Formats: sequence, C-alpha cells, structure tokens
Amino acid sequence: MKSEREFIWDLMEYAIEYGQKLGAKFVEVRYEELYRTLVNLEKDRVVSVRNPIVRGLGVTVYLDGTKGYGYSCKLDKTGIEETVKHAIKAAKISSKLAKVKLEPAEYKPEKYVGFVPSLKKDPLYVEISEKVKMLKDAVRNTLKKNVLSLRTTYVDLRGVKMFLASDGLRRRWEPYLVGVSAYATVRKNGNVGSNAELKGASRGLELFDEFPIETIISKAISGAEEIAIAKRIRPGRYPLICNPEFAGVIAHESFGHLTEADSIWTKMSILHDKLGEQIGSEHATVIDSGDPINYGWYQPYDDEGIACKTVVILEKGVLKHFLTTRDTAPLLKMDITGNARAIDPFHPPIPRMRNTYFGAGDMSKEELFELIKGGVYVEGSLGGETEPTGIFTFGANRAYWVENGEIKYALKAVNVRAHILDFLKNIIGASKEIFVRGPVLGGCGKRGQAPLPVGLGGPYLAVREAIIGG
Amino acid sequence: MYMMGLIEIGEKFVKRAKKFNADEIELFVVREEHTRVEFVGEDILTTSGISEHVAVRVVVGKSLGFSSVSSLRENEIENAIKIAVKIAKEKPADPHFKHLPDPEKPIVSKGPFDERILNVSPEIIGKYVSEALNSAYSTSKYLKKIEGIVSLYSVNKVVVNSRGICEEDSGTFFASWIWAMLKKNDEISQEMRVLTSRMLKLESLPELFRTTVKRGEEYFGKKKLPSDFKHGPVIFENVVVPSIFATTLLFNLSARNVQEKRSVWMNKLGQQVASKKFTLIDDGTMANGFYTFRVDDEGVPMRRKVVIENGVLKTFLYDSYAALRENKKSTGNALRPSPTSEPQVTFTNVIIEGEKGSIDDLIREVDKGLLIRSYVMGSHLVDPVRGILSVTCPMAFYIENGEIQYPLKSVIVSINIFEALNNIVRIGKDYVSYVNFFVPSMLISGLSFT
Repeated sequence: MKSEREFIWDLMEYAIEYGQKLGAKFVEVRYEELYRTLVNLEKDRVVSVRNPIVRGLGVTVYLDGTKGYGYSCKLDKTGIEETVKHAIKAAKISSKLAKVKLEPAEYKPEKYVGFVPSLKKDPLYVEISEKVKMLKDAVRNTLKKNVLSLRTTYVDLRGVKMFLASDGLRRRWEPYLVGVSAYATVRKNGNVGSNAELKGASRGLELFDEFPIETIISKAISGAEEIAIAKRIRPGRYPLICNPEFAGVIAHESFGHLTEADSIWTKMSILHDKLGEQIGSEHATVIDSGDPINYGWYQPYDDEGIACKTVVILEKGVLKHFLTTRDTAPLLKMDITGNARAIDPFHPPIPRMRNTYFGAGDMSKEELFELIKGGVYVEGSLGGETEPTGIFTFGANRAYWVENGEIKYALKAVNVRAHILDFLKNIIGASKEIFVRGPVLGGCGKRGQAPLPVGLGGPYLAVREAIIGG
Repeated sequence: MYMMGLIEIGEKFVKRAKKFNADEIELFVVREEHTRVEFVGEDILTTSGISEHVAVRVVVGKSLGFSSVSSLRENEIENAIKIAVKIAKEKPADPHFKHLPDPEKPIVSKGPFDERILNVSPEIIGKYVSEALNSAYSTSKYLKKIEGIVSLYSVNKVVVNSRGICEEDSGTFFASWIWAMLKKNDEISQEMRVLTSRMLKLESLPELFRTTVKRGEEYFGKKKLPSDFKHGPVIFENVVVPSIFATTLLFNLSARNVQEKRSVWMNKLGQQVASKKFTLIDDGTMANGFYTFRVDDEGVPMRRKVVIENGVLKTFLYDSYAALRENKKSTGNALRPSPTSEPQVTFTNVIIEGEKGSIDDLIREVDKGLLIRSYVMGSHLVDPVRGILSVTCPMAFYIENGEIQYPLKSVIVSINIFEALNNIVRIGKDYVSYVNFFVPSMLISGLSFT
C-alpha cells in the first residue's frame, strides 16, 4: 500500500500531466501542510489556544506567455483536475490583460548550501498542554507586583512543503519555527511604561534552553520600567545607533521591498533604474538569504523549488542585485535568486524576502558607540511605515541617550524618520557581529499575503543623522 | 467523502460529540470559490480556486475549545475535534459561559446570490478588466501608477451544533479596489476607490477606474491650510465615514465589552449618546446587503436592530455568549473574520440614516472648513475607549463661502469620536455602499486640524 506522501507525489505528477494535456507549456505544483500553535496568556491566565492546520495544493500554469494560479484542498484526482482548470482559467483572464510575456527561466537544479539549524525538541511532538505549562510557569516565575498587564504569546510552526515542476524539478523540505513574545505594562515611581520583547527562530524548543522564556519576559518588564521613568527627547536631527533588530527592520521594510523584482520591472520602486549606482556609504551592505545565519528563518528552497541563494543586494553602497523569481529573472536579465514565496497553498508565489540584514563591518560594538558623541541608540521596533517615496518612520521599542560612546539614560517613545537613500548614505560604521532573528507573531505583509515568516537583522549600525520624533 | 454535502459532514461529526468527550460541539463548514485579478502596473496576477475549511468549537464543562482545519477529509476533521477538546481542557472554566446557541427560525430565507459570479467566463472577466485599465490610462496623461484588485467570490457555509442548529446558506460577492497615482511636474496626487456588491458588476469597472483617475487630477495644485485656521467644520465624504466611526462604535456597542466593563456606554442604554440627527441601524436582513445571510456564523438568525435612534442608545450587539449571560436573545451579530476564526461580535450591515442633500449641498453649508475625501491614514490607531483619533488625509479640500477653494497638502485631523457624534451639523442623503456600510456624507463641527 502506498504511503500518504507517495499518494501526494502521484497526485502532483497527475496535475502536471493534466495541465500539459490542457495545453500548458510549463506546470508547477506545490503541496503544503502547515501546523501552527498559538498560545496567548494575560499574566498567567490562558486567553486563547489555537492550533490551526492548513493543507492544500497549488498549481501554476504558463500558457501563451501568461501565467495563472489555481488552488484547492481537495486531494484526489477530481480535486486536481478542478485545480488545474482553475489555473488555466486564471491564465486566460491574465492573457486578456498582460502586455509583458512571462516565461519561466531555465534552471539547473542546485542544492541549498547554507546553515541548517537544529530541531532537537520538535514542537510537533510536544503536547499542547506542555507548551501552555511552559509559558505559564515562565510567567509565574517572573511576574512582579508592579506589572499591570503582561501579554505573552507562544508560537510554533511546522510543516511539509513539496514541489514538482514539468521540467522535473522536485523538492521536499520542512519549515520550522518557535517563538515567544512578551508585552509588559508596568508602574514605576507612579509612572506607567510599556515594552515588548521577543525571540523567534527556526529551531526546536531547545531555543528556550539558550534563551529562557523567563529572560524574554524579564527583559520586557525591565524595559517597561525603564520607559516608565524615561526622559523625553526634543524632536530633531540626531546621530543614531541601531541595534541589529532595528537595523533589520529598516533593511527589510524600507530597503528590501524596493528591490523585489516585481516592483523593479513594473518601475514601481524608486530603485528600478539605480542598478550599479552608489546609493549608500561604503559601510552600507544589505543581504537577503535563505540562510538563517544564526537565529533567522530557515528557507532552503523557495516556493518555485529554487535553491535559495545569498544575494548581496547592496555591496558597500553599490546596488548590485534584485530579488528575483523564475519568471521575473528573465525580465530583469538577472539570475534566479530563489525569492518566490507564498503564505500558504491558497496564494501564488510572488517575489518576497527571506532573511534580510545589513552586512557586517569591522568595528567592535564599543568602537562603534564611540563614534557617537551625543545621539540616540534604538533597540527593536514594533513597526512603522514606508511611503512609496522612500521616506520611512519606525517606532523604537526602546531608546537611550548616548554620550561619548556610553548609554546615559532611557528615552520615551522614539520614532526614527528618514529617507532610505539618506539613511544609507549616512551609515558611518557597522560592528563585526551579525545577529538575525526570526518572527514570532508578525512577519512580512505584501499584496494581501500576510504574515509571511521572514528573518531580519544585521550588526550594530552607526548613522550620521536621522530625524528623531518623540 | 467529497460526495457528501457540507451539511452532512457537519451532522455526521456533531452526532458523535460524546465519542470525543465533548459536552457540546459546533462545526462551521465552509467552501469558498474565489477568482482574483490583481494588477500592479503591468504585472498581472490572476488566481482562482476552491478552499474548504472546518472550524470546530467544543464545550467541555464550562470551557470552550476551538480548532480549525482546511480540509473536509474525515480523519482531518476528527483530528481537529480532538485538538479542540484538548484546548478546552487547557483553558480555565468560564463561569459566564452557558451553552452554544439554540435553533431559531431565520427571518431571511437566503442570502443574495448571483449565479453569474460563478459562471462568468474568463474571457468576459478579462475583457471588462482590460477595458477598465484602458479607460484609466486614457483618462489622464498624468497617470503614473495604478494598482488594484478585481475579485469574484462565492461561499457556501454551514453551521451545525449539538443543540439542534443545522443551517446552510450561500452567497456571492463582487469587489474591486483601485489606487491611482498621478504626477504633474513634480506634484504627486493619488486617489483610491472601492466597489463592493453581492451581484456581478463587471460592467461598472470602466466607470470606476475612469472616475478614480479623474478625481486624482482634482488634487493637483495643493496648498497649505491658511495658517490661522486650525479649528472648524469638516465634511467626511460617505466612503470615509466607516473608517472614522466604525471601530469606536463597534467597540462600545459590543455587549461583550459592556459586560467586561470596557464600553464607555455600559450605563447609557436609553440615554442620549449622539446628536438627535444620528440614527444607526444594524441590519443582517438588508436586501442585497454585503453581509446579509439567513444566519450569523454561529447559526443565529440575522436581524434588523435600530441601535441608536435619534441619538438615543437602544441596544447593544450580542453574540450567543453575551446574550445568554444576560438571559437574552442574541442579535445575530456573531461573524468570523475568516473561516478559520472563532465568531466575534461584529456589525452586520450598517446603515446611518441620511437627512437630505448631496455632498454639494453640504459644501454649500460651510462658511470655512474642510472636505475629507476618499481615504484617510491612521484610523486603525484609534483608542476606542477614549474615542481619540488622529488621521492623515492626503485627499482633502479647503472650503470657503460654500465652495471648494483648493486641494490641501496632507492635513491631519484630530477627532474625539464621542464629541463628533454630538456635533453633527448635517447628514447628507448621498448614500454609498461600502462593503457592509450603507452611509451618507456627514458634516461635523468643532474639529481641530493641522
């Protein structure tokens, strides 16, 4: 008797055969199973536990220079036929509208060569009750009297991704991720402060041996205490130091999106005509990779079965490469980088990032801080926005006043605002070590597909100036 | 298994509640068919497919467990139920929880359904979207970027629970969203429009795209507000009204928030909470309403309720949990934001009753003020308890002597929603259907802006 997996491979092969029978020139089939666990606590009270399961199959067909995407949860022969017909229908609609021909580039299969993180304590085989207890215990061990509210979340993601294309490309890999976030509101000296802290990575539950959940929660609480008694800063232009996480948010949100192939060939991005130009300082290097580096998101293959490459998008300030997929690479006359991703089988792969981070510099963290005589140091970010013009505003989780290279005191609610090209030109130094982190609850959102797990990070970055808002 | 109807699937598992050690069980079974054309400049991405989901709620003692799976396979559903039972056991007992809802006879026999949304050919869809895009590009030489979506969607949904609810309904939806960016010399202007309907409206697309671009041109020549003008009346064009008011209204009208003492209106039933001009109706039975169905997402009949009448608060909005807690009937306001979510207290179709006049009539009433059009940014950041909101409005005009004078450089309007509800000068009668809202434009006095 055939195993479940063999049965799925057979269906995928049938999809290709059926697609070709209906006239498709090239067919890709993607199967996904995704298991998530989400536990939310308010202090040590369980607010919600969720365990959604997604299973489905998607088919891309290329037909007369256009493509269409079809999907279904029906895993049998009729389901496959329906899905392929849907994909053909989609391609036919596109063919009435498309002015640019899309063809998948030739691809010689390569293997993923990056770091494969550990998965010793696989969350898939740990009971929900144990996960709830783990989080509850950590909260009980760290809760202090001055904590007004403490929201903690535990997340894990496991799954299987299988891929087959009509040129024989075949992949199977398993994504994995665990994470915890904590958001604390505390009272200190009569003042109230709030702060978030999170840790997420492609790892098994052993992540929390290295980074105990108690430490994550304690940091959220102590950060909130600092913010409660923090000083306000007068809005204006100041020198800036970003921690790896804050730098990563900018690398991803404000820069990375501008280099995704779809925004380049449609000329939507302000960088579409800047390839080869010096757009940042010599200290500005930005990389996007499927390699999680240390605590990022593990993505060996993309959703078109392409081995994820490490792309140096910006090298010492020069714009070198864009993030491509199988059908956008020929439009840009570039290599395929393995950036086609979808949030689930019900959505088509589009150009997306994997782990996006600033490249390392040659300074120690201390030397980097010494570059700043008087300025602001920011840690982490809960988000913000980037305008199509390239101007971004991001709130910092925590901020501090730095004088002569030393952290002096905490600052309240700091926003960093700059034009991304000014920001890149103003980078005056980067530290040697890189830290990349994975997502917990969030991730990337684009064209109706969110949240997509991504990693972000970098070294500590020193920036000549940015607009600091209170 | 796939030959079974959704209702049979639901019934089959509900009958076996005891086998799963659940006291009660509810299955929400959904099949969705969706065709979506997305365009970002010349990048065209079309997807089409069917997805099926089962969301399970189980009751163990005084605890509710929830789980979901995107599959109708028997073993997968069974697994989801077992997970929901495990989750129920993990959660603390909820002393206020009574039971899942009981069956009642629906008022509406069936939600609006347009067969054409299922059957229209890809060639016809392509033809209309192509015509619409061409009409956008030929409308203005200043058009630089265009982005949007055209979506055709149908749903079959079934709610079955072990207390006897066994309801099935289906519906169709058509939606389009378009954003256009124009550039003249160095000035950038943008406009966004939305079209939503339960019926196929492909033939309305060229007009929608054309007006979007045409209106985009009206924002060229932007100037700053007169520097001494920081306070005054503001007209919110109909499509902007939901984004300004909906979050705060819903938060404070939700019976769950009243019971948890989070609603500022918890002691205001029967009292004046808004201007006498303001009447708000929540009507899940509205003809062709975007959210009209036989029953809500936990199987309770959809109803029509006058929620605020001439400014007086008449009722809160209930799901079965909140209703049973007060020994009342649910108002049929439990909807799921996605098929794999638990039901939440939500508006069904919202109608704000109009007084008289068009947007031009409202403008004529303003001596000196603002007109906010199309869309605003930052409305999701509202604090619904304090009702304080500050929105950036990239599409706004300055009005003087009852006439539009010029478009404004991005203006920020600060609003206290509770004060604004009491400061309504006039409500127009220029209704627009905007997703589940059927609302006219509103003129409100005493707002601050910069």
